[in-house]
Amino acid sequence: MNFTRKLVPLMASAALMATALAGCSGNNNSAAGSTASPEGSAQTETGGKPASIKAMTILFGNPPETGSNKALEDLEKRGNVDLDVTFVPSEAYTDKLSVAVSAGDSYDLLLMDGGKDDKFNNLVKMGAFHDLTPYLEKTENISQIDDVVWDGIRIDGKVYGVPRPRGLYGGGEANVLIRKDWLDKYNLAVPKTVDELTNALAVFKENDPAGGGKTIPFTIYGSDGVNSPGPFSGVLPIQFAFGIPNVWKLDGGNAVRDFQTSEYKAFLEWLRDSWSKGLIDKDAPVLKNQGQARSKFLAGTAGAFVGNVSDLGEANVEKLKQTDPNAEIAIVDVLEGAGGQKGAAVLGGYYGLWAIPSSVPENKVQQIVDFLDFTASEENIAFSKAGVTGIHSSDFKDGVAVQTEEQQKQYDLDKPSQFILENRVDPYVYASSKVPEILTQQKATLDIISKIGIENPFLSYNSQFASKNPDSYKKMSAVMTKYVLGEGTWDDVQKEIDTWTTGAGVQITKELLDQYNAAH
Amino acid sequence: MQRTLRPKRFNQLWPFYLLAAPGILYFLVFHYIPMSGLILAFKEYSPFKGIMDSPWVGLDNFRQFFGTSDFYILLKNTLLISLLNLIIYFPFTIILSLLLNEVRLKVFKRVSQTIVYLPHFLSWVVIYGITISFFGPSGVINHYLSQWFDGNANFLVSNEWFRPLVIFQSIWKDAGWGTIIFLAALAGINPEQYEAAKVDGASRLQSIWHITLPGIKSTIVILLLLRLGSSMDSNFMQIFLMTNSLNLDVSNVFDLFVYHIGLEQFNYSFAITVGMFKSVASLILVLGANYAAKLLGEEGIF
Repeated sequence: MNFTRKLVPLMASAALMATALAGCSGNNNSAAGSTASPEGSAQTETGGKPASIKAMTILFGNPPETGSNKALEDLEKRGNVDLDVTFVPSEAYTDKLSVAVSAGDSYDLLLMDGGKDDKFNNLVKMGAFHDLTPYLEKTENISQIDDVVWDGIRIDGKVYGVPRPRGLYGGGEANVLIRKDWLDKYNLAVPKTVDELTNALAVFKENDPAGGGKTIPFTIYGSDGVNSPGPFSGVLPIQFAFGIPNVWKLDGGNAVRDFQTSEYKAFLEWLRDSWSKGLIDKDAPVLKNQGQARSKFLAGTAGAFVGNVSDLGEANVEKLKQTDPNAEIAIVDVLEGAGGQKGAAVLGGYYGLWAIPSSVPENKVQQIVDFLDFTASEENIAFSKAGVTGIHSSDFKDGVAVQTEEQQKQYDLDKPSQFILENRVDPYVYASSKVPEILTQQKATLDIISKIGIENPFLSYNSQFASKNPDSYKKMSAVMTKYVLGEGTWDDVQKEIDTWTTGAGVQITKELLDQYNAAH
Repeated sequence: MQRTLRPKRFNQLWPFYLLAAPGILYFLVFHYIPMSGLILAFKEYSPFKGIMDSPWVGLDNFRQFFGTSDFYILLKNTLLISLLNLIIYFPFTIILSLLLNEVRLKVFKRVSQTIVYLPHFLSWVVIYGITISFFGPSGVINHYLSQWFDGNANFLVSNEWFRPLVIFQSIWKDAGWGTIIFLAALAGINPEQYEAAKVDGASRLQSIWHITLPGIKSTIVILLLLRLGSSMDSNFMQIFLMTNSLNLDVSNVFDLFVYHIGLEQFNYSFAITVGMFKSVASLILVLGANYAAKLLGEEGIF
């Protein structure tokens, strides 16, 4: 069949992101732990002969050295495995994954990067993966993962994939990041409310700090209209400040979708107003992902964008300073609305699920799970940050590796952290800076947003109907975008919302509510 | 007579059959056997149950496909883009080859040929990048439009401009490449005809009209038929990159739909259903056009 040809497109989104920037690395994927007090990184496990494990995982940035990788050798020795990891660039991952899954026989371990989504549900229903529930009982490190996370990934009470723990709150779209040096220039404080933010953006627009009329006060990006109906993505903190629920809310037993609320209308009006004043990036409708928005910010032309604490990292600051040596980034930890509303999304708390294809023989499953458990151990936090003592670093102190320049270089080549397949539970996973002051700030912000989490009651449920109609939100997204751009009226939007409410929405709401009621 | 001839002919021809055998085998193994996979359009396929054990669902997939409210929009968008390609891009390549053919200075001809071929080797992603920097909301063109005329054009973020831009991109990227076959056909025209025409006092345009065009007529017809055969396909990459929520009404095509439903959701059967519909529709188109070509006295491809 011409099925393979249909795979090609993926390369498109791929390359697109590549053009956008290569810098989304270090955001979601950096394996970080900071509470570690590592010991004995050379303990050899005595056991049977090494289990050979072939795994496929997602890669941001450059792959580790493939020839003789000392980090890999060390890990293999300590873990008593023969590890073969295929690193697939994030841009091509979906593509490669569907081939790997349907081929069925080549891998022992696959990272399902979308987590428990429709795709994963479909695959589990097809019998693609081993039920891992019985194998997880004896694990030491994996079992420390929060119950909320486990509840979120179970299908019919069973675990089909081991989640890679991440922060529960906010995810990649938790906070507004804003140019501190620009704020200072015009005697503005870091905004705390939507009004203050709007005001700051207007001042940026008026004074054009980037010069030549190039200033983009606020950069966001277009929504794909498949999963999220809104006109733009990269606006969550503002949505929560308007009091919009996290996708769904329960109102006396009824399920209400975010765009059905009156708060959503107010939010769209704010967008429309800001757009008309030129506060929002004109390119937003054609930007396809957060990476592109971030790259505008890091290129020094945008005043604000939505990311999370990992964007405060020194790598970003350095990039920004190349265009403007005075550049500084401030983070808006909480953005409040007029009525004091605020929030950060409570998410699944993981990035990707490690699934074992059902083609893997049963007697090997425990070995694979044990290895995952081993990589999540404390000694491997040190390993992921400092590599092998003597080769990649000379010491590991207070969660930071002590490295000579040469060791640093070797570390960057071998990338020990990439081989740590399963991460250890760590609420500060996004606080990845090596600069103590930034690290403190990152942790403080994470602490703050963990108190304003807004849950999505249906986070772990899926609607079959929605998955069979991937285009169901596209029209709404189009109409809303037009409204924001001043090309349509509210009646058009309301009509589309009503169409959904009385059409596709009935089925979707029912399916989700049924699952919710069955579980509660 | 015939009976005695046949074995004899095979005896004479077997080396040629042998020569063709790998080719025939290739088509059997890689093109005809996989076609049996089409039965998956009538099943609820799971790769883990296998083709045989997946349950039959009859025509459910087709019902679902034709039942989506989007079906006619998808059909319209797909066909319109193909049609525009057919009436704008395709003649453009012919004109371009005629122009190249008229160039007398060999060096200039070679250089210009190389230059028009080059964009073909750029990926769609690069071309999309170029498109954004020229036509994007904050692109070069809009920059000058707003400076000089105090206005701006929504090239990438409106329904109106989507099709013209897509055709423009196709021409920019592939028109040069598309001339190759025409140029080969043009090289086959007997130069004596031109000399004779010259003696009779024909102007350049007249010899193009009366000698060059008739000389490549059959090539044009064959290429046209081949293009019709792929009119249900869109250039996925190109469309995928150019699409956004503001041009959705005109940019949503079958290939995009298949990608969302088949690949993103692992709904293999449904993707195959759409693929099968596309193939059958294309086959009918080609057969019809081929029949029409024959009625008009052309050779056709069958």
